[in-house]
Parts: sequence; structure tokens; C-alpha cells
Amino acid sequence: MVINKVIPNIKGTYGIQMKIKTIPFIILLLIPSFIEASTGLSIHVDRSEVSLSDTIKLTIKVSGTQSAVNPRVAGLQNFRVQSGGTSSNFSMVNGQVSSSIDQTYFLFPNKVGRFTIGPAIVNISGKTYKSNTVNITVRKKATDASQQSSQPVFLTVSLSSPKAYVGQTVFYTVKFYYNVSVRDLGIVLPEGNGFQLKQLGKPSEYSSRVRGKKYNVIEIRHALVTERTGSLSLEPTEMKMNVLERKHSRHGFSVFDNFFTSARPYSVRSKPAKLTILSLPEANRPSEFTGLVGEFAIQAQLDPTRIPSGESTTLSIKISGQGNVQLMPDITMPDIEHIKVYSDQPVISINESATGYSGEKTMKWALVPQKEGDYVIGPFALSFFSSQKGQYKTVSTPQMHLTVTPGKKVDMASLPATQDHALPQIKKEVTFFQRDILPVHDHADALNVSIYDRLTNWQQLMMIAIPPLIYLLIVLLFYRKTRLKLEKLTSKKALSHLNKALNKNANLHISEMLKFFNQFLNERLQRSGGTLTPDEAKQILISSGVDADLANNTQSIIKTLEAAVYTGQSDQDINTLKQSIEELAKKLDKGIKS
Amino acid sequence: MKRLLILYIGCLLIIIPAVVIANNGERLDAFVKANKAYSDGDYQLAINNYQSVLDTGKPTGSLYYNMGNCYYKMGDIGWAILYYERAMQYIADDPDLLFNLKLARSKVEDQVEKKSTLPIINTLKHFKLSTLFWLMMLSNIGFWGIMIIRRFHRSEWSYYSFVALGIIWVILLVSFSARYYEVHYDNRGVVVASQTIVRSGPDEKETPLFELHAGTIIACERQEGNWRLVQFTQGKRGWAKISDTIPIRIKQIRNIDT
Repeated sequence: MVINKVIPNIKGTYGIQMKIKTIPFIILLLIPSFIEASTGLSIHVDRSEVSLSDTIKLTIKVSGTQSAVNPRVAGLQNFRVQSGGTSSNFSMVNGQVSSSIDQTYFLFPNKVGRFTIGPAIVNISGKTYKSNTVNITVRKKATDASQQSSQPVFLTVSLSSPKAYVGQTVFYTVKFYYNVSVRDLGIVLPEGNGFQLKQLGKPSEYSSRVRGKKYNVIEIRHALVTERTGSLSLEPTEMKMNVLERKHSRHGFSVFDNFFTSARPYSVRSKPAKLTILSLPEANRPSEFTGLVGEFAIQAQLDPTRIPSGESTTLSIKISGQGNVQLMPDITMPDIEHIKVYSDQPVISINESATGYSGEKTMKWALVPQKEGDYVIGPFALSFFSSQKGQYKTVSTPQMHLTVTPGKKVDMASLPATQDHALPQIKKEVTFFQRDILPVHDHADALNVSIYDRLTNWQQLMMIAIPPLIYLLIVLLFYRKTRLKLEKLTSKKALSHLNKALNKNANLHISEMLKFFNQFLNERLQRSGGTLTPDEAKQILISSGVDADLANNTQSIIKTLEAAVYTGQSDQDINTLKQSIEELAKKLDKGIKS
Repeated sequence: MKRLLILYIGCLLIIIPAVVIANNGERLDAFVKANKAYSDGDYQLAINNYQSVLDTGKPTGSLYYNMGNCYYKMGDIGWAILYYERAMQYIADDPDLLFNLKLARSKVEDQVEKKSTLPIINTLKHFKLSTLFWLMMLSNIGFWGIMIIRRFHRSEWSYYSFVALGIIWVILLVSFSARYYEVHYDNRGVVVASQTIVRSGPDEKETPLFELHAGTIIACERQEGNWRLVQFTQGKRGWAKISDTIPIRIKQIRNIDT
């Protein structure tokens, strides 16, 4: 969306007519027809105080619509207006769809003074919407800026007031002007005894003209807090940066010119600043003054104002204002005859913005009247020093009336249940009245020495060592026995292993038969492994108590099997061989003596 | 000869328990007297009686705790903390002891610099050494028991039991060893004098470095003459009078003295 021009319309009002050139079509498609957000209009500016050479960024926010609108903004006759573009926002959070259009304008002040911008008026679907207004103060050109304007970068600082009362918030504003490319900015603020600088909000960026030259400006606002009085010297603020310098190629213009830039470290310093902190006047100081400086208000509310005796009502007192809000005092609730008072924890909220510290403190009490009648609650007063008027002020709430009608007699023990509806039960921290030690152990067990303490180190070591020693003993005792047992078991199962192996596969090959028969011999003879030659098998069998015929048969069957494996020819049928191996194995199993 | 030997052994069997019972009776008597003195507010007499109980038998955590109470009541924070710390070696989980020790520590003048220790070490301090020992023994029996079972019967359940018991056994063995080391090789001591000057050398003429007050825990190192090399924190060390600083572990006193 592009805004083409700004046309003066009627006196004091500018109509901003827009022509939409390009609206991304996809966004339009994505916008669902069920947008439920209500339409609203608001305006805001990035700064409320500017110099004549500065620019102000004005944003008009139209929420609840995605369509183009023509807002009319009042109070722009003292500014030159330039379009800054339009952006549309669309969001969906937890099923809630919202959309808005932000229209941005840059305002160039034409004269010095205090101006009110707004309200903006817009007509959407035949309905007229009106926005808020904003105030802008335009001052003369900053002298400190114009003095240094010959430099491409310079820094200025300013105090909101050269004199302030102790406790009053003083603004220390740092402005960094530059018209060259800079990066890696770092600020060094003055440090000193007796004051602290705290940044307020985010830095704002805008452009400004100083002696006809256009500068980009970064403005950082700080709150200066001090507790001491007298003259305060603030050292210069320093801004460190890297200035980018473009290096031109030796051969004139080059497409790579933009890449040949180098960063040169550079720093600029502002002028020092002086501030006089005045002590608060002693004259007319209210007795209940607690050091609060700024502008404050106090409000009180009693709800309900008519209750039966024994029931509770809630009294709320709210202090709000701007200044040293951290010092907002707790309001003391005076004793009221026949009314029991239960206080709640105060709730404090403090906001930090470019205009300083603001906040509010809310205190609540549950009041439980014990007797019917009319009671007067308040007034409650708050004293503070008004930094604007330079004098003490006391603000107070109006008197409140509580009417208590006769109610059923309430047992005090039942009060907490009544209170539950009004305020949460307040838990009390349990604290010591006094501190002392607990008594001596005077029971007979105090003399009993535990079994562990009776044991000597050696006895303890022995107790720890006994279980592993038992394990080692068992391992040693059963090692030989277990091994022999296992070997015996294997030799016993050798015949069944062979029969299983031979009958497992119908298409058994002769090489497998030889392998299984060798396994049988090894297992039955409790040999570790290896292949026996026919002669070895005969000798071992004879030495194992097998008669010579059976040993010869074994020798010949191994020979037959080996011949069949290595030559691939056999004069016997495979089944006949299998059968004769099984019969021979049976005889050997019986014949081999363990 | 044989008869003589039987007679001798018989006598021993009768005399030893009789001596033990008599000794226990004396201890109990002194203990009751000490408790009475404490309740009457005669704390010095209570200390003397508790000390006689300690001298005639094995120490217990409760006896040290009671001694600590007597010294606390007499306003002697240094000695009170010394005895509470000794009691911690026996009854580290006793709530009365923890309460009184915390209160006594709060009265120490010197600010203790926090040491960064592993969380596991801090957790172990809450266990009595005897508790850890019996837990470790239980896991020791369990672990080697399952090892024996697996020699004869290997199955899935025995494998997982072996792994679980193995992990528990290692953890408890390491915990017990760490706590054992902490208790038996504890080199901490307590400043018992109301204030003591720590000097650069073992002599009154040496430069005074800093001052410590009653109840402050220090690390005791070697000693020379009547002086002991102590360390308060990293970088704060020097020589203090032996009489002003007492090691918590009694065996350490013997070791140093010899």
C-alpha cells in the first residue's frame, strides 16, 4: 500500500486521501470472513517534546479492519506532513482473530509551541470512529546541537531542569547525531558519587536537520536519581563506535566498491552538565510527609456500604501518581470502635516509561462491624511535595459512610468462613518469641553405645570382607567339580546329539555325516575338539577300552566317509551309511569306558 | 593342671561381667546426677558428671550433646559448638542436636565464608556413619549373594538383580567410604577462647594477622610447642595458641599430642 499525497481539506483538518496501488492479493485471500475484533482507532507519536528541526513519527492505528481508510486528523496545521507508509497486521491467538492497519506519517514542525494532535476521525461502513489526542511541545533549535553541527557525528546531553528538588525525577537525555554509516555503538555514561542514571524505555530514532544538514538521531532518556543536595557535576557522556569508510578502487568505478569498506574506531564526547539539587523546604511540611515527590492522587472505595452486623465489607484505597513512586506509603487504618479490621497485603505496580516513573499502590481491608449503626470511614490523607508547584500538597479521600443493620449474632470463630468471600485468608509467619536450646537427652538410651560403635576397625573390615570371601571360597570349591560334571554330562549326551543331528535333515550330505560323527567321538571321549584321522580314532578307542573289532570298524567307516567326501564317490547308499553310523555309535557309546 | 585351667576360665567368666555391670552402674549413677545438676541449673557440676561418664566408657552422641548444652547454658559458645560437632559424628540426624547447633552457630561472631562443596557431600552429612555402614553391609551381602546364586543358576531375573544390586552396592560403598573418611580424618577444630589472635609464626612476638572468636571452625594442621597452625579460610591461615583451639576429633588430639 502506498500513500500518494496529503491534501489540505478544511481549516484545521487534513484529509489524507490514499490510493491503493498494490495490496498483496494473497493476504486478502487469507483474511477470514469471521474476523470478530471490534473496530477501534488510536493515534500515538514517538516523542512528545521536539525541537523545531526534529521530526515526529505519528502512527494511526485502525484495528478490526483490513480495508483502506481515509482518516482525518485534527491539529496538523502547524506541521508539514509526509507519508511514512502503511502496514497491515493480522494475527490469530488462541482462535481469536485480530487485524489492524498502521498508517505512519512524519511531521515536521513549522513553529514553536504546544500543540494537540487529534482526534483522528474515520468512517467505516457508515459508522464514525474517533481516536484519542496527543500533545506535542515544540521548542527552539537545540543550541548545543548547532554548535557542533560541522561534525559528521556528535553527541549532546541535556537535563530536563537545571534545578530539582531531592527525590524529584530529573531526565538526562542523550542525543547522538550522525550522517555517516556507523555501527557497534557503545555508550559510557557519567559515574559519580551520589547519583544514579537509569535508562527509561527503548532509545528512539528519528531524523533531524541541524544547520541545514540532515542527521539521523538516536535519543536515549535516563532518569537521574539522587539523595544528596547541592551542586552536582556530571562528567561528559562518551559514545564509542566504528565509522564505516568506503574505499574506492584504484581504477575508478568498480562494481565491488560497496564491498570495500573499513571500520574505523571513533568516539565522541558530550559537554559536561551541571545540576543543582535543592533540599525540600522545611516550612509548611506536613507531619505525615514521607518523602514522596511528584504528583499523586488518592482514591478510596467502600463496597458494599450497607451490611448486616457480623458480615464484612471491603475498603480499598488506591494511591497513584508519577514521581518517586517507590516511596508510596502504607495508609494506616485507624481503630474504629465495634469494627474488626483485617488487612490484606498491599499490591504495588510501578511502570517505567520515557516520561519517568509512574505507579499505583492498592491497599485493602476487610471491615467486620460487630454492632449495628452508622459508621464514618475516613478521610484518608496523603502528603507529597509537588515538584511542579514547588510546594507541599495534601490530598485526601472523602468521608465514607457505612450503614450496619442488625444481623444474626455471629460467633467470632465463624468469621474466617465469612471472610472467605471477601478476601483470601491472610497467613501469618510463625516467629520466635525468644531463642533457646532444646533440653538434654536424659533417657537411659543416651548411654547406649550402638553396635556399630562397639565394633573395632578390624571387625568392621572383616564384616565387609566376609561375603566376598565366601564367594571366592565357593568359586574355588566348585570350580573343578562343576567342570567335571559338565564334561560327564556332555559325554552322556553325545549319542543323542548325533542321532538328532543325523535325523534332522533328510537330504544329509556325507561331509556333514563325517562332521557329526567326529563331534560324537570328541564328546564321548571328552576331547577338546579337532578332527580325528582313522588311525588316531582306532588308537584312542582301543586305549579307552573298546575292543579291537569295534575300533577297526570305526577306522574303516571314517575311511569310507573321508573317501566319499574327498573323491565324491561312494559304493554305499547314503541311508545305509547313516544306518551303519548309528549302529556303530550305539556300540561305541556302550563300549567306551568313562 | 586341667582343673586349674577350668577354674581360671570360670573365674574370668564371672569377674568380667561383674566388673562391666559395676562399671555400667557407676556410669548410670553419674549420668543421673549430671541430669539432675543440669535441671537444677548447676551446669559446671553437670559437666563434671558427664565428663566422668565419658571417661569411664565409650562416648555416645547424646553425652556430647548434653555437654554442649551445659556449655551453651554457661554462655561458652566455643565449647558448646565443639561438643555439638562431636555429637554430629554419632547422631548427625538427631533433630534436637541440629536445632541447638544451628542456634549456637548463629551466636558466633565471625562470618563464615561459604565453601562450594558437591551436593552429594552435603547430603551425606545428614547420614549417620552407622546407618551407612549397615546399609552398605546389607547391599554387600545382597551383591555377593546374587553372585553366588549366579554361579549355579543363570537366568534373566538373576542377571537384572545382579545389575541392580551391583549399582546399589557401589553407591553405598563409595558413600560409606566418603563419610568414613570425613569422620575419621576430620581435621576441623573449634576456637574455644572468647577471642584468639592468629599470628604469622609460633611465637607471641610474631606479627598478629587476624582475630578469631569463640565457636569459629578452623582447620587444624601441625603444631609447634604451644602453637597450632590453623586455617580459617583459603588465604587466612596462621598460628594460634593450642589452648585456644581444640580439634573436634578426639583421636586427632592424641595424634597431635604424641
